[in-house]
Amino acid sequence: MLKNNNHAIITHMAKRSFTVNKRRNGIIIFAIALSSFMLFTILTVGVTWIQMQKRQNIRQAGGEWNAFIYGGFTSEQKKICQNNSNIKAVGSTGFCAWAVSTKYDSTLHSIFVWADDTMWNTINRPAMNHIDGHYPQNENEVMTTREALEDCGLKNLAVGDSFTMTYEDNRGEHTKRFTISGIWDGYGDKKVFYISKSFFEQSGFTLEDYGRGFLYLKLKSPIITKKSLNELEQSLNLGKKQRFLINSDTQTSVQILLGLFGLVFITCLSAYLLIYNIMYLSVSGNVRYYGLLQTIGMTGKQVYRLIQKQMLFVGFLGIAAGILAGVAAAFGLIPTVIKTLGIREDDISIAFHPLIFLLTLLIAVVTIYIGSKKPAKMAMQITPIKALGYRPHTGRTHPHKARNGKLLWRMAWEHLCRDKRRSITVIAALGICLSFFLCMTTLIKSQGPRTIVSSTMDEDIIINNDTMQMTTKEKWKPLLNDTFLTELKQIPNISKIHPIVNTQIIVPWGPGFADYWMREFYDMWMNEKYTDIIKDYKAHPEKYPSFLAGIDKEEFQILNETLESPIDETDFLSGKSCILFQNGLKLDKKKTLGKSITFYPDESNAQACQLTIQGITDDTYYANLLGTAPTLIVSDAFVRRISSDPYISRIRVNYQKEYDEVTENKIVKLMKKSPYSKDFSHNSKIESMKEVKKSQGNMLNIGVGITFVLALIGMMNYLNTSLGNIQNRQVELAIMESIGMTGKQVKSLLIRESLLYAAASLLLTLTFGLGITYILYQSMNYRNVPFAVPILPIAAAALAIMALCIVIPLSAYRAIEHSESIVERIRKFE
Amino acid sequence: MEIVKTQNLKKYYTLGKNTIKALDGVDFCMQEREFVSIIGKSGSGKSTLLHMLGGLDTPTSGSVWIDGIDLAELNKEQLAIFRRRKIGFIFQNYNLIPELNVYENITLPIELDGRHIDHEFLNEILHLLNLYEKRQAPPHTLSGGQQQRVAIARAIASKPAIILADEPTGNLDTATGHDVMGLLKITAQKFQQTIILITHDHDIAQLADRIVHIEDGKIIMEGDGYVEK
Repeated sequence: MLKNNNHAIITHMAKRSFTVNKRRNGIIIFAIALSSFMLFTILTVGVTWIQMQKRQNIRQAGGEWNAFIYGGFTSEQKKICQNNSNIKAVGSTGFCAWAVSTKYDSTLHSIFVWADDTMWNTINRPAMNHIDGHYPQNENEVMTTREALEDCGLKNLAVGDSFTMTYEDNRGEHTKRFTISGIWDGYGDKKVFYISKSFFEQSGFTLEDYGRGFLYLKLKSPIITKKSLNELEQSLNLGKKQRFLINSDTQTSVQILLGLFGLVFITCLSAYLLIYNIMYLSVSGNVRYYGLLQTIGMTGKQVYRLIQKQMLFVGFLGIAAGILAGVAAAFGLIPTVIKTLGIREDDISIAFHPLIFLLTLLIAVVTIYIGSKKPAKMAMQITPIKALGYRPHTGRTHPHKARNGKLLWRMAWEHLCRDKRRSITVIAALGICLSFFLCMTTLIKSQGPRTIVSSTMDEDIIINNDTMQMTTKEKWKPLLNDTFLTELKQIPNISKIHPIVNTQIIVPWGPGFADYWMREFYDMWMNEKYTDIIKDYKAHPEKYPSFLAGIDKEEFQILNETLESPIDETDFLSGKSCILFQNGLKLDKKKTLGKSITFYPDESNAQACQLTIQGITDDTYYANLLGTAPTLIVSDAFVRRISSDPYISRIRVNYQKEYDEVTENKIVKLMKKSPYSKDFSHNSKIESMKEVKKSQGNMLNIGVGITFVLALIGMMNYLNTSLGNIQNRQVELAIMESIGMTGKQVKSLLIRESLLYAAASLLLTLTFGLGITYILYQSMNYRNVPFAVPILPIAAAALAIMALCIVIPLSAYRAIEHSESIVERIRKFE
Repeated sequence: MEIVKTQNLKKYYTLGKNTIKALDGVDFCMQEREFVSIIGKSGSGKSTLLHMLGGLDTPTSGSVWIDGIDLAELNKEQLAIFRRRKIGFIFQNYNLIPELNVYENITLPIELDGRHIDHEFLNEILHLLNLYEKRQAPPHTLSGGQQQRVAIARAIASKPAIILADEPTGNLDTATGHDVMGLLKITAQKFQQTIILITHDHDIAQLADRIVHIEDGKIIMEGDGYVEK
């Protein structure tokens, strides 16, 4: 049998239906446009966000590296890294000296570091904003920052200027005249003087020395499995003192990638649900039309082709409109919004990749194809007889008893159960959008500078006495004395003040714990061997001093909670026991806990004391002063009792209100007015937060942009589905009105239906959405920020969804009610 | 006692440049418990008249009084309440609510009115219309005749004064149509209701106490004789 050429008539009918059914096609085009818009915008803004996140990581790490070897490295290890196929660049730095004094300041904090070409040009460079001058070539040249110069009291110097500084290296103290070969600005450790290779070579240190040489590795791909990282570490044959440290986002790169795939998948799923939903509603509302076509002789296949042709038209228009709107939003709207928020224009760079365009096109086409397939099949299978009497009917096929309860709630519930597939799709679409919102706001909140800083810093400010970093006790100054403390306490809005009281101690050699400690300490950290110094240690223990760190009761309670097994408070506070700072050693608990340690303050006429070690801690906060012998944490009362001249080395301060700048300014003012103002340093939560904020650029705003677009799309999705739904139900609503349902009752019914949709979506969000959010959050949480749901935006979103669910159907019904009478609506069916 | 009365009732539609006179000055009245059939060709205005009487549509001019109430004085909400209390509708396409079962469909107007459901009365109706066994079934599982009987039950369940039936047998075969109409007449008589029936079918129309012929929006003949123009 010859095939009929009915191509022309089907195309003609598809075109005609396109122009005749303007409202229906408008809704479908809108749905497709919305989906394409969502895909394009989210992918574009998402890529931008990822780029900005990468920039933030580079800035916070002070360079573009994924891992580094700490504790010195050998040339063999460097070669192994250079030959590894996963590694793109290997850069090394050598820390060889520290600044001691200039004629303007004698408590300096800057260090001298040599960076090789790869380190400087490939790894450090991405974290720098600009460089004046060149990297030091000569032994007397330095490349530095404004911050380092300011720390030395030399802030007015420029490139080419010279200055004199005393510094200390492995060979002792030297005073030298330096020339500034360059000044850089950017991110990372700013109190650094970069020096030439020849300077480093003269320092007496080598790259193999512990704490001097660092080898930085930049991987070819940012996505690497833990297994590959382990293999790399194994291949390096690290020594006991060496550590292979991996950048936290590299460690979790695979999880982050999976998380991102999850987000893209959810985006695609939302787009699919949106298109499928509207297609389904459209076809089920036109079954009589398709049945009629079959009545007059159109075959099921032709109906199928007709629907596909219609989809081709509307799909083309929808995708084009969606992508155009996406371009406008991504490159016009979002940057404008961000600019309005007051962010510098040069910080805004929206990434465009042709792949995003193709991916959007591909996903939209596939979604339209799959989304229209099922409804088209449904239309194809309609028999003409069935179609002529067709009205969308209940999904219930089984008899059921009349239910109790309020009529309108019952009817609303029955409506939800009537077409379960449709209800599930609407709930899923709404729930996914809300879940996406929940996920994004939670992730954004966790990336917030305040959240990041608050998760790592309990106190608002730590005030340090820098003079106590000097090895010569005579140079210590009583900056944090009683007068300072009294004045500090008088500053309003301070809730807590916890000083650490220190005194230097001598731990004489003993066959028990003292010997065990020194053996472990020298083995781990020192270049000399313990066997070489033991004789000297036995004879002159005062050459191997250490410290007691005295803390108050509240501080003890905080520390005690972090111990593996908490210790007795009374023993600690009364000065019978102590907590040992482990200092990175791997101490045998059997040889440590419960052992006695004997020491005496490094003062004349000091009495020997003996304490029992009851706990071990790795918390470096309490061990800001370290010596060769063990550092012991004891009660402050005990320090004051045994020492005639204790010093406060640091004070931890908490404000009544976190990030209280007014209180902080008063504290800074107090430090500045002190005669020792140059000898203070402080670590401030506010400053850390500002630093994080600076390094993030407008990453968070981009995240907010994505969330904004998502929320908009979620609303549009529901708007579209709801409009289609009401459109399809107008006959049914008219019938109910004809038998006496008042307009108020119809509206109440619609509100109840909407509330059920909203409640189901919220339930979905709070179960499935929250679960997914938690998994995604933990997989991407390389900063270990505790999981917390931002209640306010979520509650606002929930309320917005509720409001939306109520307003949209009511408006749609109102529009129908005003445009046509009950009779006209009923006649549509008759 | 007069329960339905229209005075110079007009309903005009504008279609492009043309004005269609669906009803053109209809004066019509009915007594309580009367059964009137309105017959006429397609497009003659009989359904429009029924819709006006039921308060589903508003006239261009003229008045409609039902049980002494001037419908023009009622707003939308009052009209809806009027419909569920005074009128029982029976449509050609049954127009049952798909998500409710037979029993729930029947009780819907009573529940919408917030009234107490008289289950005994409803069971009596269900038995009378032979629907008792089907009371829990969803509407689309019933035959056309059964669905129309459900519509009749719904129309009389709220004990309205008037039942307006728009081609109730239009979708039924002749035998079923006659059965359904027989049941409608019996139940209406039993519950003392007034019926206005719209039909093409002269045989069905004969069941009424009075027949009204309508043509081009005007009543042209009532009972056995033509109306004077």
